[in-house]
Amino acid sequence: MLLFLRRRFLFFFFTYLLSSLTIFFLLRVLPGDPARVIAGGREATEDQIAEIRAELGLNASLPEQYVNWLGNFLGGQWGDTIAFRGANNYDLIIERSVNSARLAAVALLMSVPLSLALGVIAGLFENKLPDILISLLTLSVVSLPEFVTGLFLINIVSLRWGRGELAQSLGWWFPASSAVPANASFGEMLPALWLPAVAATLTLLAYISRLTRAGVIEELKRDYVRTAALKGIPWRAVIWRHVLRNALLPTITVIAISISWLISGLVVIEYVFGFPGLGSLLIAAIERRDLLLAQAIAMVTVTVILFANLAADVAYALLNPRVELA
Amino acid sequence: MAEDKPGQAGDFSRVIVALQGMISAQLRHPQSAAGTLAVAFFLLLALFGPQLAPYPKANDQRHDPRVPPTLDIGAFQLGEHPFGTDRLGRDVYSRVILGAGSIFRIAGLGTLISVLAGSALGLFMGYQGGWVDEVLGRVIDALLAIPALLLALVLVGIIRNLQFEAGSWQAALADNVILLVISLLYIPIVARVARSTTLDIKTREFVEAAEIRGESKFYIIFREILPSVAPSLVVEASLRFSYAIFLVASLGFLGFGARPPSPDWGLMVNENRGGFYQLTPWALEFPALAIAILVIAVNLMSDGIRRAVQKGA
Repeated sequence: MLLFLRRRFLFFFFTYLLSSLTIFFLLRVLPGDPARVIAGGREATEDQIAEIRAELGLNASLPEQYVNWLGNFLGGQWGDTIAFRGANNYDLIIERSVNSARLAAVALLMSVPLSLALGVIAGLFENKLPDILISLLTLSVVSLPEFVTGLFLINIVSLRWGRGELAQSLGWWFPASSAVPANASFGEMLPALWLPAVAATLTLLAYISRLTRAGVIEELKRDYVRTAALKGIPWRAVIWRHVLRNALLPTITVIAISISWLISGLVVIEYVFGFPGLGSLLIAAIERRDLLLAQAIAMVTVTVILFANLAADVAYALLNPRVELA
Repeated sequence: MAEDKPGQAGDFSRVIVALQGMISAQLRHPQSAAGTLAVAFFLLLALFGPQLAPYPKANDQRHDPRVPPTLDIGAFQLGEHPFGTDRLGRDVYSRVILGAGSIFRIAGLGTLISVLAGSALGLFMGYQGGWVDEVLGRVIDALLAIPALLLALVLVGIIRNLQFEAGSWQAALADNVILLVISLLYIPIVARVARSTTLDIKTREFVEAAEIRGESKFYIIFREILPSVAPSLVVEASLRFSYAIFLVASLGFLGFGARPPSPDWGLMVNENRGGFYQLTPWALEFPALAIAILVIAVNLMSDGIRRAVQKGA
């Protein structure tokens, strides 16, 4: 167990080092002068370029630059934004991350129970009608790109239902745009939040339910299930006490992996709904050529994903005494 | 099925047998067959789009703006503008047909490049083993920690900001930035699959026999191991293709793919959303429908291929 945790932590640090190196070098190694790119390409004056060059410490050696940059990132010194005048990257990213985290939390709260239920049902009825219906649903409706489902939802819910009499009395629950004021509380945000969360739920549904289905099917084939059934334990009890308990353990890992999936989906969903989260900030940053902001967002995202994966592995190891030591 | 005779073990007949199994398995599952047919239909559109579109120069040709769709499914009539015209007076039907070409070219070529390069890398890593494999494997794991869409957005953003001389090879590369990004993103993923399958195959007797015969490393990797790894590579390729189409459409929608006035489906959806949606809903709905049908079809097809290969293995 300790050996497993030690290996896992080592891998975490190695992965963090390597992905931060990737993000760092994306801006440094590509042809062209990074200072010129950050200053805005051809329109930039030599003075601006020299200023940015000094600010970024581009006159130091590459390894030195990397260490300084990573130190600054870990210390919360992320520089000022170019795209949003008067704000600094750290405050901006933290504010947007809170919004995205709320959206992600609502999406996970909706999608995890629902997709576990669908996956278990599909697994118990392998290749029978419920299974076929569920896999057709998850494969077709749910494998659509987020922007198609998002626009579809806006069209149906906000533009059609939102005009109905019932909806008019609850009007603010059907906004066509999910723009919310800065520093809104969770309750204030909820009307703008639930529709993008449904869109995110749909993207996760297929992924989690298919893996759950596979887990249940595999577990049903084990010898102990047959033994328990032959011992005369009611089938219902076998399913609840034995099969599900074992089959659902790996879903902890699945949920952690799906966070990476969710983050990609949220970039598109936030853009479609005009929700002020980290994903729409990333797109704005790249559109406005604020590569320092984009770099910081990428680092934050990778940090979240790696911590989620680490936490899942540790939780799995603690819950499952048979975890492989190799 | 070919016997594992020395010298014949790596025969590509195994691949053909697998392909035959795949086709018959497709036929057994109607939803996979329907998906494959739909993909073939879109492929035809992609190949012969300029011949099939009523207005092959739909990007420049202007008609009356905001004409509603003239398509009448009940009467089997297309009319003058089956999918209507957008707010600029461009024929949506022609633009949807022309748009099939770019999505297939980018997603298809990107898949092809990443599968070829990724399998070569994975086969080499798996067969070589040792520290080379260990180091490359860890690097791939680390790269996969970054979400593909995020990496694609950052890469496209950077490459677009670089200045190149017109006509130089860098400029040509920058013009095909999405293709480049998709290939780069999927090489490590394919390599990981090829590597893990190779690790399993390389302990088999026919590989040992080839080693004892003194065959070259190149021969063993490509003539002995590759045919056995090929089925799982086919599955991975079909999966990559469906993700590539998804990614191309998403990047186009976010404004990071083809530039206006290209008839790119994702771009068309983006150009006609918001306030324009009320004005010309058909200009958004038909390209969105095309994306939806293609994505579902490719998914059904790749699901059929996966099932056929797993059954055959």
